[in-house]
Amino acid sequence: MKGGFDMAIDLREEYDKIFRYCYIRVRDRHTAEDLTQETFLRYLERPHYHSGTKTLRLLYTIARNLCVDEYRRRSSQDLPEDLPSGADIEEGVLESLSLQQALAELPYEDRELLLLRYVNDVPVSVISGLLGVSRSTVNRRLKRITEDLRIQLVKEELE
Amino acid sequence: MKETEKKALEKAFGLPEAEHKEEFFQKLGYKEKRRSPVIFITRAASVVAMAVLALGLWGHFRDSAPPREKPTNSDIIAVTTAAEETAPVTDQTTASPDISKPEENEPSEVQTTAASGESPSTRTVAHTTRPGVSPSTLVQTAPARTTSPASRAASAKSTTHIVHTTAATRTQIVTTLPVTEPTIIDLTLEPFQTCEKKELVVDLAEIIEIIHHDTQAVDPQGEPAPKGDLPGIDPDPLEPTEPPPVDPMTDKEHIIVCAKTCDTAVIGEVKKVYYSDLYGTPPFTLVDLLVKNPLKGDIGENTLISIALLGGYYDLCDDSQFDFADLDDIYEEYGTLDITLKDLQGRSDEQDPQVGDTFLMFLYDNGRNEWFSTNYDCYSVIPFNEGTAHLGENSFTLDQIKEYVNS
Repeated sequence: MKGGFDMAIDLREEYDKIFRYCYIRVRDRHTAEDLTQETFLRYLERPHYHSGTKTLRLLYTIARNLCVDEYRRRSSQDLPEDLPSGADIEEGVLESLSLQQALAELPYEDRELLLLRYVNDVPVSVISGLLGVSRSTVNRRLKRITEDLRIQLVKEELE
Repeated sequence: MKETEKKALEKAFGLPEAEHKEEFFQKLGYKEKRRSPVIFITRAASVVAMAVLALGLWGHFRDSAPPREKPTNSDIIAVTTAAEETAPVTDQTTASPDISKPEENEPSEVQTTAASGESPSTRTVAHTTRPGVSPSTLVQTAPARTTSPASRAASAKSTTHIVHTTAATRTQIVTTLPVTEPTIIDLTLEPFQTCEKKELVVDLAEIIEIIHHDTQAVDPQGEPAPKGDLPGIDPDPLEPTEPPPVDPMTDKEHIIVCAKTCDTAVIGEVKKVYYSDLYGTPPFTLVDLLVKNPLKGDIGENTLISIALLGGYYDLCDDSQFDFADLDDIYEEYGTLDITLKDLQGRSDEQDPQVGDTFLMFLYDNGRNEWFSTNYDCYSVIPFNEGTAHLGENSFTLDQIKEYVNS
């Protein structure tokens, strides 16, 4: 492709975000990176979606589908259930240990939603399209999850 | 959520960095967008140049265009008899007609006679009947004007009929000005990608049922084992065997809730139906609806809008989330992958609109959804026939619906 790609969004930035998204789903760094690259390759095959929110939605949709396929390929026992530990946890994370524990208590769907909205800054409209629910449902769920997290954190502090 | 909380959350997720990003983009040949000032200057200069060119062209055409005549009356049918012998049909033929104004309080009547005083047999009369309306509002003394074929073609709403009354002597030119044809405001959007509704349709409920049957325990006689009585497993006495009773919302409550919470409520006729065929998205149906009766919101009558309804038809083979391994029974039955899944998941009323159907729809403006190419999303689709909306076993009159909407 001559002169690179003329995209509405910064694909390099989205690469990191898609990687995070894949990572929290498959819990394996290398698989997550493979899936991220596959996502971008598939995305680039569809040039007519390369604008604005369409780009985001398509990227996440492809990534999600690939992660689902990955689930099916591997048995569920192979996938670690908990949050990453050891080398995957950066230094200095200890201060957010309680938050990490609180996150671990959340159902997977809630963690996914938190990551999409607050870590990857995906617009609610894109999330609603991705999950097949209305925007108000996404907002309600986010509100409930953050409230649950706060309650969990307060509980742990008291203990 | 505050920025500090977001940072803490990101940290708590313990997300690693991608290792091969640069390598990947290098292989792809992806370059970051250059935001050099030269590009901006070049772009700005080209925009200014285009604007100057456009202004110049506009000025040129404005100066060279012939002066326009005032528009003629749009309420009456103006009929002109041109008396010029063997007048060329395609030329602009003008006559100076005598126009007799009708008497007051009588049906207005316009008589336009050729200036050369030809026999009355050639006179043509146009009638408009508007009792009680002052004739002065109906009759305008605009000069009789005919349109050339070129301008006729350009005018969408006026038609000119050229009638030869006698073999080669007289040419009668009749200009019919706009009839009260409703103007349709088209706000519809084209879907990005659609698929055809296939004849061979498998209902998702059917598929789920098949899978459900496969996973159910079966007793030696081949009958499904009753729930909570699986072989070798004692039923948990604490676990309720039946789901707790749910008090369903009545149809009336459904309509009232929709009427109160929607942005827009319309009754309209389905003009077009598209089914989605998009990679990885939930299937949806896009309906182009011609609004016949706006009940709530800003949409006016005769507006054509696009509405996305969740659920529709798409090829199973396009659905990467669908586990084909579970569908052996269907493969055996149909022997092909080229089947279409009817998926009405998420659509509470499970309506499947067809062209020509009339529906009462409760809509909400969810922002222009580029993915679905739609003006509105939909709360509810309710069939509407002969002045009555039909939901479940109940019917609701138009007056009742208006009352709910306005309450």
